[in-house]
Amino acid sequence: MIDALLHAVPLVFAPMNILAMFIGLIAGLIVGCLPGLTVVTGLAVLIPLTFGLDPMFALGMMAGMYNGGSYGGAIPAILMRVPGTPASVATVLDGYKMTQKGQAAYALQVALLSGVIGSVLSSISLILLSPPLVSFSLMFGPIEYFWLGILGLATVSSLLGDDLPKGLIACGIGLLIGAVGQDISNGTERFTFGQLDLLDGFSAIVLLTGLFAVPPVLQIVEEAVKTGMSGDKLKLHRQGSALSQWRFFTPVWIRSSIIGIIIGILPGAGGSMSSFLAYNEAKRVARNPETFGHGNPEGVAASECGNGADNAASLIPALALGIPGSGVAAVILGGLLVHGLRPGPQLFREHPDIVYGFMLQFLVTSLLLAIVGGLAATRIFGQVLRLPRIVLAPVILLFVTVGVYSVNNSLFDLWVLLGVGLIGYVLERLDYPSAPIVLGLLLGPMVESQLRLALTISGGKTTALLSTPIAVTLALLSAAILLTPAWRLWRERGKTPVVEGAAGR
Amino acid sequence: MEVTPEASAPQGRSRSLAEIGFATILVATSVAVITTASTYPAESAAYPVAIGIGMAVIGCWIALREILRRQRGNPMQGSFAEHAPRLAIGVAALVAYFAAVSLIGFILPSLALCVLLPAAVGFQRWRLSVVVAVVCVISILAIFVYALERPIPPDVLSPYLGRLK
Repeated sequence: MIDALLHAVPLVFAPMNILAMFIGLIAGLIVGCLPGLTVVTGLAVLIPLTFGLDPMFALGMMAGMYNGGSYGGAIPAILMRVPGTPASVATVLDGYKMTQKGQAAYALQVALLSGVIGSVLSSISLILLSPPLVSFSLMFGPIEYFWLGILGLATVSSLLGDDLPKGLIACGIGLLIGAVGQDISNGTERFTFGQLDLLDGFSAIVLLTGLFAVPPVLQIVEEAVKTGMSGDKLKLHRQGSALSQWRFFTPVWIRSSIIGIIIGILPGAGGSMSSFLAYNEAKRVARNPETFGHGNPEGVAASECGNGADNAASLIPALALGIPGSGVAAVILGGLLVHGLRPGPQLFREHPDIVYGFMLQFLVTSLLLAIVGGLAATRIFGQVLRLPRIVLAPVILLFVTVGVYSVNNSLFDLWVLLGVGLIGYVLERLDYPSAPIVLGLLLGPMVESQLRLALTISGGKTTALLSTPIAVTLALLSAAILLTPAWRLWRERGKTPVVEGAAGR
Repeated sequence: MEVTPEASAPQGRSRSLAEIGFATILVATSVAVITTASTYPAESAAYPVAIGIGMAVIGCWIALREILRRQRGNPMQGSFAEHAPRLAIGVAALVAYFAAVSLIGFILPSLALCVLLPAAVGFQRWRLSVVVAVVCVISILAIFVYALERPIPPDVLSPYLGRLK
């Protein structure tokens, strides 16, 4: 591992790759601070634009966007009481109160420093924990990979939404889209309807861009917000140093980072959950819990540190096993595949410089965030908040169009983008999660091919699918994850009177 | 998206019919998938047929669940569209934009979209829209076409762009 990290250092610190990380951070900061746009949207716009570029350059931008976007959400949360991303909702509680007390600049500093510390510790956990997981996965054969794929699909379908049937439907849509094209084993054309463009199936990049970048455009048009933030709010002046109060904040940072990292690794969790749990924990152990929600800087520190700490950690199962633990990780997984990098042991064996370089880029961008997110930079990049949101809708669409077209030089892809985007909008409105669709598309072909291989090796005996302890464990885990929502519902019904329709929005 | 206690879905509006309609479309699509896949060789058909069956069953479940909720007087709350006329404008703009891009290329439809889409939903600061449109299109051309040499859809202005190179 040390050798691979040392080999990756020159790549990471190549001038162009440092530039990529800066660009990614700034873009992430802007996307994060724009309410209605999430890191996932930003990545969905970014990935097609980076197609064809050097992988380290592209991955540096992705790492930057993830870390930048994670902090960017805190800016409107603190200044405007509008969380830029779902993960910064907990930051609003104390951050905006601090702004009302005239401590906006201090609140932003606390948020930034806490986010940086959480992100750095998360990146270190990614570097330290991924290799052991990869070593474990070397024991896997076709049967285990089949179940691993099923576990990933079950996890994302079951845990990334409130409604298991809708999660499973989303997963099914992804699996079916993944089945379009020529069957590799015998050349049968499935669901191509004579279209040459569909012979290789749908492009993952077009699908994930349509699903995550087009619905926000329609939402912005629907909301039609015609005014921006007042420029006065960006007149920020230094108010003390959060760094000089490190003794005060250290216990919050340690607790919140541990919570964020654990939540990040756990499949289906992350984002708002880690920031809320970190916030609640800080409040629980505080000497004056009643001050939380009234402008306590510890609340901002806990929320932003927990939020930053789950970023890189959510990539541990994604990079090591190819099983993303969150929606963002699923999109990054798609981004890696677009550059011909299939996560898992093979990636660590064949491209150690790139995979360790990517992990280092997370660490470096976490540190660079301290510069890019500083007060001076916030004054500059925060200007985007003064733009009325409605003018941003067409801008997003322009970047998406250029990016998607340039992947295959295909106008057909633009129509696919539109179709997928409209379907994505409907799914979002009806609370069908989008991440399982991407995962179904990415893992479906692997699940099918490993299942066929396993059955061929065993002579068609289906009992062989449960012939190894790892396979049985993965199968039981998948079943447990799928049964969790039903069990939770049954427990809740046992405790409270049944309220029909309560599962709704 | 401001965090207020009132920020929940509008009361009294139901998206129940949209839920049932979409679930029905899913079931119909699943049946079509099963029918189509059944014509493939068994080896290639098994996987999509299995997924199709699963989706059809779950789609029926979702539709039936919502029908039962309606019968009990507790349909799914929340509206499907926040503002249906503006949503229709957005969808129409997207379709028109992609059709125009297919016909005359990227530049002119992009400029038009940046100016006309905000105007169509009531944004009247034309000067700002025009500045954003021009800056955005020039930036895209400068970065992607000239610096990165990436293709854009075939454009009626391509001969002029060639001269600029």
